[in-house]
Amino acid sequence: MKNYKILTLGASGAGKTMFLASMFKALSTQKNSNFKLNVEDPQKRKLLNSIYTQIVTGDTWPAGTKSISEWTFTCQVQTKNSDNYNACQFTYFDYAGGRLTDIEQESEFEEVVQQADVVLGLLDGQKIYAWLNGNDKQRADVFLSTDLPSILKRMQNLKVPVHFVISKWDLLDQKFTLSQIREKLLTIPAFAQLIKNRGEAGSIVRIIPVSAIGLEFATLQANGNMKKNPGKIPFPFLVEVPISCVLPDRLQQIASERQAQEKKLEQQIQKKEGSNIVVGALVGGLDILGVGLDGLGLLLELDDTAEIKLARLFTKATSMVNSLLKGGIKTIDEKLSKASRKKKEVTLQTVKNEQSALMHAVNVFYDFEQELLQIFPDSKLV
Amino acid sequence: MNHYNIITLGPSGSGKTIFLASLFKVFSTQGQFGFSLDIQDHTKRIALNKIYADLTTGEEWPLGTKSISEWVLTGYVNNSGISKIPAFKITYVDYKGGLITDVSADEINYSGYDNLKTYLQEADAILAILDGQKLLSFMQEYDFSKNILRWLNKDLANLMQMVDKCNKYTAVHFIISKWDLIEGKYSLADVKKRLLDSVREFKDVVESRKKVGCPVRLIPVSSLGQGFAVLQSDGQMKKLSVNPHPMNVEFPLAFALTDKLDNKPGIWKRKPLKLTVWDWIIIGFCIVFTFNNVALGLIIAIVYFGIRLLTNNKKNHPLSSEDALEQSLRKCQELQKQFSAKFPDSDLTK
Repeated sequence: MKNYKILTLGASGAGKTMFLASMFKALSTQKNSNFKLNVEDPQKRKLLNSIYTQIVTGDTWPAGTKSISEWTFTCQVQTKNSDNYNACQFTYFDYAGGRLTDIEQESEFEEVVQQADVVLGLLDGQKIYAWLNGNDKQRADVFLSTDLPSILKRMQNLKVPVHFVISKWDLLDQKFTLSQIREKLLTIPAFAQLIKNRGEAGSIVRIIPVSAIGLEFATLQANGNMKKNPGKIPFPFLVEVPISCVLPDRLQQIASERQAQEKKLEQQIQKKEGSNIVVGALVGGLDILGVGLDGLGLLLELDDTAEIKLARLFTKATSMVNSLLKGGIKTIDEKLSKASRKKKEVTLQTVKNEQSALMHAVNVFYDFEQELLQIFPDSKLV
Repeated sequence: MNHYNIITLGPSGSGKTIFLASLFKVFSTQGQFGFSLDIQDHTKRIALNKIYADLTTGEEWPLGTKSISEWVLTGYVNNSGISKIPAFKITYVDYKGGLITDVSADEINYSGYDNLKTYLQEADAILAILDGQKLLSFMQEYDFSKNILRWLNKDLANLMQMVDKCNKYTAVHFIISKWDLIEGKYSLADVKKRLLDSVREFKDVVESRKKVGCPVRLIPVSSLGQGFAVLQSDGQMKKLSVNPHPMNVEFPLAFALTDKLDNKPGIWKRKPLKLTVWDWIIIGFCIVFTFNNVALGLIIAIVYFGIRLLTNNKKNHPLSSEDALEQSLRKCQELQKQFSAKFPDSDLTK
């Protein structure tokens, strides 16, 4: 089973673990024809449940989280017959400061960096709120002078896709738009530089708002405290999106890299026709997914447009998002959401082993990615 | 003899041990249910009786269970009042509820959880317990207290994740314990709707089992019955000086026994006819007769063996273990019918 590695960066261990706990809360059982996450180690599974409980009750933090730096989630698909098939694994590596000595941390960190498929930078929504609102200078200063610079510093030389996850979106929702936050972040030179560099290199950057408790469970009071809204049950908002974007972004990155390689090659040998971009991207994609050429058929079935099969996959893996943005999101999305529901059920029926489970999961990942774009069209920075 | 593994899944304080003690008490005599339960291990029988006695006499509630324990109960059917015929065995597993919810890095907890996992994999029926006291607060509270948020996000989340991992063919029933607190305030239909509407993990698990046609029900029980204890304003249960009258505890067992896929009553064939000396004499007689009068010989043979076949399964035979099981399962089916009539909303697949 393929294991995808996500390097998580953020100010404190707590924010990242909270994010993982709410992600597990949302995906621990399978809803409709999606996928679910399983945590093999029962102690870690129970710990994540306890942490989520702590988020909604405000209880004391459960012991034993500080020493955990790796969280592995198995992505499982449950068929109509309630058979469970593993699709792939995602391991989150948490490298918060203070856990190891600098030298130990650097060497271990470098090792993880080399293997990472995606880097996730967790930005504290409460600090962003303080910064934008201007009512809590101390909190804003911590964000601007400590949290963000340390994340950006770590991201500087990385080529893999980057996801900035804004936590506690419930605080920001309806007060600030994602566009406003994006523009404000771009006023920070180091952030703007990172986006510029990655834009030139064609490396993906997303900014994904999430909330562990959802948008209706509590309201921020004038005194800075949260007040529960009676009758509301907490449920995470968009926490399934970052994990769902790992594979689509990795596939797109492979396609971009192959494209760049081909271009270079074309220039070198002045090749005029017969570009092999599609095949290159395809082979790279299969490699990333950990499926052989026999998985190709299943991969091709993911799409149901009337184009040539290879072009279908290529379009999907590389430029679906761009084409959507160019072609007008609304009309295409309407078509897509109807089609995706139907398609999801169809691919779920084909699940009979690990490989077909992965294909189904990839299909669902794309749906969640589309959902993000639908709600936040500005979430893709590069 | 047929053997059933039954395991209850429930966090601390949900009433697993009390349910076992009450179940044993209710079935300790044959009474109305057509079979009785006994524990062959003398010390364990005494221990279980003591748990029930302490429950019903002392002012205090028993302390939580400390470790995993197996209780092997044998189901007996009365053979015309002469003897007791063993019909089936049940292994009931009881354990510390914290194993399901609490994080602990120590070795004992790790191995305890592994054992629990093995029991779950081997179970024929799983009884997942929803704590009636917490369920009542969940129904009553509009603004959820921390206790209820803990119950929803820790207890139920862990419980549903474990049920979700169980073999898809293993029958799972959700038992609502302490039903005496809810009865009269909310109907089972209200509770079912609220749980399915508000607890996503519960809904997902029910949907998943529904898809494979696995039975899944809500069974309200009260191990000590209505009026035995009252809920005080501080959330504590105070015992009143009333005798316990366990309510509905027989139903989970009835469902657990009959839901095992290969265990439906009537699957056993009729008893094979064993030929007696008299049968052989009649056979010889008929053969001789057929030499003279074929029709008469055949008529005698048909009438004689017809009567023999009809009476073969009746009284005079000693009751076998298979008969006893068959009889118990028929009683369980009757209990199921009674339950469905009493609680038409219990079926979660409808």
